[in-house]
Amino acid sequence: MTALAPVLEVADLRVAFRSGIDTIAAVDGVSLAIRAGETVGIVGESGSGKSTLARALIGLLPKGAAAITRGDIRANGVPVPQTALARLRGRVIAMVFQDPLSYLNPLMTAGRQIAESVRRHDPGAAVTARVEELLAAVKLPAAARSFYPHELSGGMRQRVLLAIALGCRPQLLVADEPTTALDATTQEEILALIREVVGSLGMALLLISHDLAVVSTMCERVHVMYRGRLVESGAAARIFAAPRHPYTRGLLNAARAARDENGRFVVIEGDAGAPVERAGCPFAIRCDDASERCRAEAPPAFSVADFADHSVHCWRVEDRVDA
Amino acid sequence: MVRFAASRLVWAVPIILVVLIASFVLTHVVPGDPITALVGEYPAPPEYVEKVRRSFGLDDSLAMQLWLHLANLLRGDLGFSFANRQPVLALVLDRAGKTLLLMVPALIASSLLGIGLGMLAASRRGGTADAAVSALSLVGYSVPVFWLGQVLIILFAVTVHWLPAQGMLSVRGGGSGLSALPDFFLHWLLPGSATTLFYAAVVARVARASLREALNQDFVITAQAKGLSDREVLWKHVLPNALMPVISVIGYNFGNAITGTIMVEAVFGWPGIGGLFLGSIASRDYPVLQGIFLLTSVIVILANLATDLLYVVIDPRVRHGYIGR
Amino acid sequence: MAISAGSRAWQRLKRNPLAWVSGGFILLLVVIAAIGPSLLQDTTQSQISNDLLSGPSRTTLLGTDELGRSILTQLVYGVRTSLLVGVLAAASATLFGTAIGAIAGFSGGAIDLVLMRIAEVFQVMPTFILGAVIVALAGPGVFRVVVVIALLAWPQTARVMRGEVLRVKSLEFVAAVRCLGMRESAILWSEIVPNAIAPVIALGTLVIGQAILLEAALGFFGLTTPDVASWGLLLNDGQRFIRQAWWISVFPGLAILATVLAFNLFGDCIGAALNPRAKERAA
Repeated sequence: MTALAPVLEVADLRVAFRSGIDTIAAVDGVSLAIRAGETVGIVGESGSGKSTLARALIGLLPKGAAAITRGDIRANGVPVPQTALARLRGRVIAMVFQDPLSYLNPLMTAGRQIAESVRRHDPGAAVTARVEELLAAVKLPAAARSFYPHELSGGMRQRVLLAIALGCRPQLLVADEPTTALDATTQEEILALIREVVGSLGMALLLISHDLAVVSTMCERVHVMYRGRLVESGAAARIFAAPRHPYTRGLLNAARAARDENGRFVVIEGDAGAPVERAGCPFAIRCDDASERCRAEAPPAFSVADFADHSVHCWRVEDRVDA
Repeated sequence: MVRFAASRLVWAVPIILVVLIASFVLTHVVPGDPITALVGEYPAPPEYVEKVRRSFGLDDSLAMQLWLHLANLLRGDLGFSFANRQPVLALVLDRAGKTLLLMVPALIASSLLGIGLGMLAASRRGGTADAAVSALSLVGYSVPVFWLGQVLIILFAVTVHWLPAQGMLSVRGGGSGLSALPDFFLHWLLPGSATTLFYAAVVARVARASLREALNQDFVITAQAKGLSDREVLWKHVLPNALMPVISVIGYNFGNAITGTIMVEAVFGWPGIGGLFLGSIASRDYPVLQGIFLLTSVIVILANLATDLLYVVIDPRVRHGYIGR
Repeated sequence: MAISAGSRAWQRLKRNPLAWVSGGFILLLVVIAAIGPSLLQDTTQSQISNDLLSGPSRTTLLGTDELGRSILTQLVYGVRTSLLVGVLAAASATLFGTAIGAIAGFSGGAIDLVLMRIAEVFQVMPTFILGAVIVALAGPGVFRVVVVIALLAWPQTARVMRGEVLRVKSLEFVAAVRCLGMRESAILWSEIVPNAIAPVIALGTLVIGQAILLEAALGFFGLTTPDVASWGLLLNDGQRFIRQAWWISVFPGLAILATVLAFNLFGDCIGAALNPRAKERAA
């Protein structure tokens, strides 16, 4: 009856960027857990810190400019100190990125770049055979291995990136905006491919996107981020059916192109503002419902009544229950 | 790929031709009798002067002269140097060999040094090493290379008598063949260092910039995310991508390398083209000067061609005619 | 569009301390060139003295040469030559190169091909050697030197200009202006060129440095007129007396180095002000 430790557990993570003499928290107190085989999504606009979070997990923050200043990361129950995060690369967490052309080495063939993963994480394996196997898994012809990145189409390149990630035999696949740079049809194909591969290999998936539609079709659980903090987390179906946080509601309205009684689009007023530290709820200045307390004090996580796994960071949610 | 290489080769030919024509223009455009430009002011026997007059058609039409001029050049007849008692072509080629002995080790050393400094600066970006390399390469870029040679002489040969200030080998002879190597090396050290430092500055400047840019590329993140060690990432992903601008600067600036070496030779009395150049200016041996001009131009054209072809070999995007990155 | 980008760059430039140092030095040189020789004319320093080949001291400052002339005086006179040659050569190369590059980039096609091939021919001939040959054949002269340098330096400017014009001409405002019925030549010269000219200016200062180095080299090889003061000529002198009088070589060389360094540094600062490189990758 012992539950396996989550593949990845993040507790109160804070990542700060140094810009001149200022420090800006790109990620401010984020906690989440991903269990084996789970599909989790993170939704947020640009500047929400979601990509920074992903990079921080494997110690790929730009050296000198950014660092984890607080919080713990555990992999399979074992705490991982910041200096050892590099050990998670590939074996535990593999990443797929947004723009496949710039993320592939232009001077190396696809096959060679995939082989690098294999050699690093699968010592003893017959490299050529494994590369072919991986290409087949991402639905590319075996001949693709002798092609250079610029000779492949956008969708094919993304498949190569996926194959590189799979070659590491990861427990968790992190996909950071994997389809943003692709056209609509290819987007569908790549998402379907990811879904299939993750399912058949039993991997966990962390999908990061600004696109609600993408996340809703791919993930069981969703976290919504705003300016470095989590604002709402829970089962995807429930969040999209009945969002509690004003920001989430605003995102959904925008995604559905919802209109109000006057026929105008419902928008989230204002903008995210300069990335300076602010007391209180980060969303307060844009929220219709904000109170003095909202502006003064940052809301902690509250559960929503009846749903223990649905948490909201908001003072104004009526049926909130202390978490 | 073949098409690209062939087109570059094809273009090299008319350019060489135009340079040959330029030498024709030189002899006729500058004030004075063209015969002076073709024979020089060193006293030459009148029969020779007559012969040149005829073979270059100086009494004929300009078109005929151009034709004959080109024909002579292509045949290898660059004139005769009375000051050196040798046909110009043979003389220049012979001296060129000694220039190469100075230049080639210096080029290799400066490329390695420059790339090494670039790597040092790029890996510690914003640090003191970075600023130091940047400053040093700016200074190296601004220094007159022949003055650098003079300073080295003053420091190491005049103030302290550690190294010889002139020549390639000791007059008293350190033997010949391989046994002369230590003697050669001692003589090479000062002029070679001047050339190396001068050129390394240029290479370091480009290497630093291109390494920095390569380190910032997205595919470096992919490589790191795969779990590759920092060393693997540097040597297999960053360096190959950073190398191309460096090769480009070395190859396309070959003219500067040659010119710099020639100047250093003049300061150190190295028996290469530089010394010949200096001497021929003094003795007004114009055919030799022209010959040096032609040879160096052709070498630069060939160096450019070689660099173009190297690009094709190294960068698959160029090979496939893919424009943009 | 050109105005705001330019003023932003100007702001960045003003904030850069290196720009002040190098710019200040250049200004100092200009002042020395302007009034230096007249200031020195009356002192005994400018005349041939009996103090032959003496080293730097309190009386002879930077030392004297084999004719007893003060090195310092000759340096000051030389500033004028160097700046004149440098600026004139760079200005002509830039002007000519800008024109050719703009036409090549704008016209495209056969005109572009031909012009760039011509540029390549000029770029291939080693500048110093060609300059030396011309001067050896035709005799020395300051303006000859300027012409030679300009002739061989314009291709770099042309290439940069062409690249910029190619970039700018595909921007939308060009299409817009065309729709208004502007004549092609007007489009090129009054709309495209001002937006493309910035990198050329940075390159221009580098060319000044190249020109000064070249002039010094020609002087060193004895190819400049002996009656015009030249730092290169001083170095030529220095070579002859390198064992006895190191100061004849060292100080003029330092002067050349400092001057060229100042121009190169200033050019770098201009380049940096025009293209502030993006800081570290922010995730």
